[in-house]
Amino acid sequence: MEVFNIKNLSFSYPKSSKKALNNISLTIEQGDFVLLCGKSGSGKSTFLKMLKPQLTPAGSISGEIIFNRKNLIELSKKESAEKIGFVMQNPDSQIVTDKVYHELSFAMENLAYDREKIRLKSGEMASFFGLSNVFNNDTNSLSGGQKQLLNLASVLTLQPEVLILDEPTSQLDPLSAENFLNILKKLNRDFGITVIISEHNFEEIFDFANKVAVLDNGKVCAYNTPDKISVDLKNYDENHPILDAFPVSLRVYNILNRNYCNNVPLNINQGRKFLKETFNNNIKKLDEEKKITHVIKNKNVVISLKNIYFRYEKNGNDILKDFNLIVNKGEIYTLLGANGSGKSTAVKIISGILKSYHGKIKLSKNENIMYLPQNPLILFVKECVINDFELSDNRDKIGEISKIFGIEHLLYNHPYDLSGGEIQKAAIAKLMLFSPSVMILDEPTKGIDPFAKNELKKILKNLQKNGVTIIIVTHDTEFACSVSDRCGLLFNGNIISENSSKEFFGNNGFYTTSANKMSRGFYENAVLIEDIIKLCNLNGEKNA
Amino acid sequence: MKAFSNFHPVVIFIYFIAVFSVSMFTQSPVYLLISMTGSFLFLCVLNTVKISIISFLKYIPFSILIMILNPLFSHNGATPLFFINNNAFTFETLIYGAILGLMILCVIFWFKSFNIIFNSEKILFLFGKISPKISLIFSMALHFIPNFSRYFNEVLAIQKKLYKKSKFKMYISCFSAVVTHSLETSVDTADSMSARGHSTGKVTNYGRFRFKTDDFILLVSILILIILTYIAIVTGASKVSYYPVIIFSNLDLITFISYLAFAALCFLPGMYEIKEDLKWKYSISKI
Repeated sequence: MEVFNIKNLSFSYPKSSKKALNNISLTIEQGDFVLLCGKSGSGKSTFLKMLKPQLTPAGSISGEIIFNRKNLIELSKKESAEKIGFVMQNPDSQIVTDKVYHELSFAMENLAYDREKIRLKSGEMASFFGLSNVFNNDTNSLSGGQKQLLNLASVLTLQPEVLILDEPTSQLDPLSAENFLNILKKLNRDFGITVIISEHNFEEIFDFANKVAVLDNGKVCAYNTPDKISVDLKNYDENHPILDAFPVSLRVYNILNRNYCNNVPLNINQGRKFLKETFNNNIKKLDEEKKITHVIKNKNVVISLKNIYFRYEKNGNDILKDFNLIVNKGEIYTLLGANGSGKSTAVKIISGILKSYHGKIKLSKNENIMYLPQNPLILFVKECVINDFELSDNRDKIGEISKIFGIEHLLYNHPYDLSGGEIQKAAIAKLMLFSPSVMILDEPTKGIDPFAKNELKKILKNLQKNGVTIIIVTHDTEFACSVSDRCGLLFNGNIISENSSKEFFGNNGFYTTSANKMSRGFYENAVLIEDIIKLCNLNGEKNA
Repeated sequence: MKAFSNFHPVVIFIYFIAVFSVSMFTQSPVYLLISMTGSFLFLCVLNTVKISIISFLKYIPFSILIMILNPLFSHNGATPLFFINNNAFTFETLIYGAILGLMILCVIFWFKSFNIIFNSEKILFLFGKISPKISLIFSMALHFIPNFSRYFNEVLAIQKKLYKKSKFKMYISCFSAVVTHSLETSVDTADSMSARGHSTGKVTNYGRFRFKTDDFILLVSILILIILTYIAIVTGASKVSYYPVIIFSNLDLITFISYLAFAALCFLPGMYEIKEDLKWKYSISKI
């Protein structure tokens, strides 16, 4: 049965001649798991909001949306609240009340459920989502992952038929994101809830989804099952940027230009099978000399931390214990580690925001350290970007730097009107105006799409050429691997492993890139997708 | 601990109103001393004895100040002790000041226990009974304020390093940025509220409290005790007048019963806590 039947849907925002959505027609069946992808600004959020009448933005709409054989506009407010659940991107701003149990009962209170039902449902949801031990706590005390689970749980108390999620995991760390997506899978598989989800990093759910829709400039340019979507998308545009966002196995498959037979690899396991069965795999690794692109010739130590101890509260646990770190001039150093391992704390100590209670920090002379916080928005306090830039020392460089970063057209916008990728660029540009010699970036890839990530990579490489030393804290192994010279793994308050990024990820078993997971055993140290492609081409196919 | 907080919020609220009203409106030293000891006992059980004594000592100077200030501004009374600038410093005003000081001490102490017992959940529940909208606004404020100040501190920590102009201007800019941010997120919050069916019509207010038999027993005992207390107060049997001279009314049966009833009322939560505490210890020793 069709849940949604969308016919020739077009939409444009008021005072805008451009169509945000352009003639979209698609059907979504009951029990479908639909993955919606597209660059930021391609209309994903707008499209999802069209499916939930309360959230539909003002503007001119044409076409129609049929929900359960009924026009969506005819749905009463109550029906729409009950049948269509909606979860947004930002875990914090969706929470309304101060206590977890109150947040869980909020939706049911609004629809005037009776007390017994509220008691039962909120208890049930808390148990299902693992929130029972925080049931009495303040919502402010939850972690980001828990907050997003709470938002989902609160929506589910009404038992919706359809669940719409707009980039729900973009603000979460990988572990919480995986946990969240697993629950979604379970809801779809065990309870038959139709799920429509938009995501930037969809490697985790790509093979689970039974339909993938690609949005491009407000149009659905491809809509098919995951194994056939590549063909459709390639027919639309041979070099469509979304092709680079697909899971590693599928990208390898696509780049090697395979004929689309039955076994299209959609996850790492299938990718391994594909590598094993298709290629000879006699050559195990690439010539190392060629691979090291950036060699640090003179090892000038810029920052050295020795035996650093830090804790937040007098009686608390040490977050950093005997923490040592040496960063050389002109290198890109990445600090990885699980949640709460002290990554952010470590860089805050280097940048001088926090003070350690024991240990030595040595900085070479005349170093100007700039720190980019996790939320780059907090760098901006004025009405438009240029006003903020003018607060810096080098006003004459504004023009030059904004040209380098490609943000000239954004200078007169309000910081809150920029997209995640744009605000990230503007923030780095602002820090560059203070002519730093060391730049520290805390989770720079959080919440930005793969294309903005690529641009960020280029920008960082460019800064490095200009002699800026860069320290990055991230969860994103792919990004860390492709951008950094050296990586360190932080565990239990100190660095337990440190190496050049290729060796680092090549040696790690679990904490590594998808490309390495896929090629492990066949190739050595193939940590990037390019490495796999080169090795595949070198080895040649088995039966050819 | 805090077994008393497990009672139904309405019952607890009525209890505190009863105790507050007697402490605030009778000016009889007997009631006040009973009330003072009762509230002190309750606080000792809720906190530790040490903390309670320290906070008691902290407020003593405050009460003494009131006791001395009252004769300086009021010159009623028949027995002048000495004169300042031709104004009498009378014995009666001094005593009345002491009574005022004791009363304020009582109110502060009861309020301290009230704060511990009556958390935001109970307040919301009570408000929700009257108006669900007010209750929701209150709950949203409790969620919003800590968020706001946390974000403000984050912005401040970063801007302190970057902002080169005057400190004052920096604070203004940061504050306005945080307000802007709050307005931005409140758009999301509003969306999330309407997505979950806010303002679709009739609402219920969900509180996790049930009215149990224990609550009923407590409510009835509170009502009986407070009525017994008030009989003497309303009829004026326990009235103390301070001006021009201090006159205690005779201790008749009604007054005596009233004192006893009020003492029972004031010691009730403290004794209840101690009883529950002993019960728990006893049950532990059996394990």
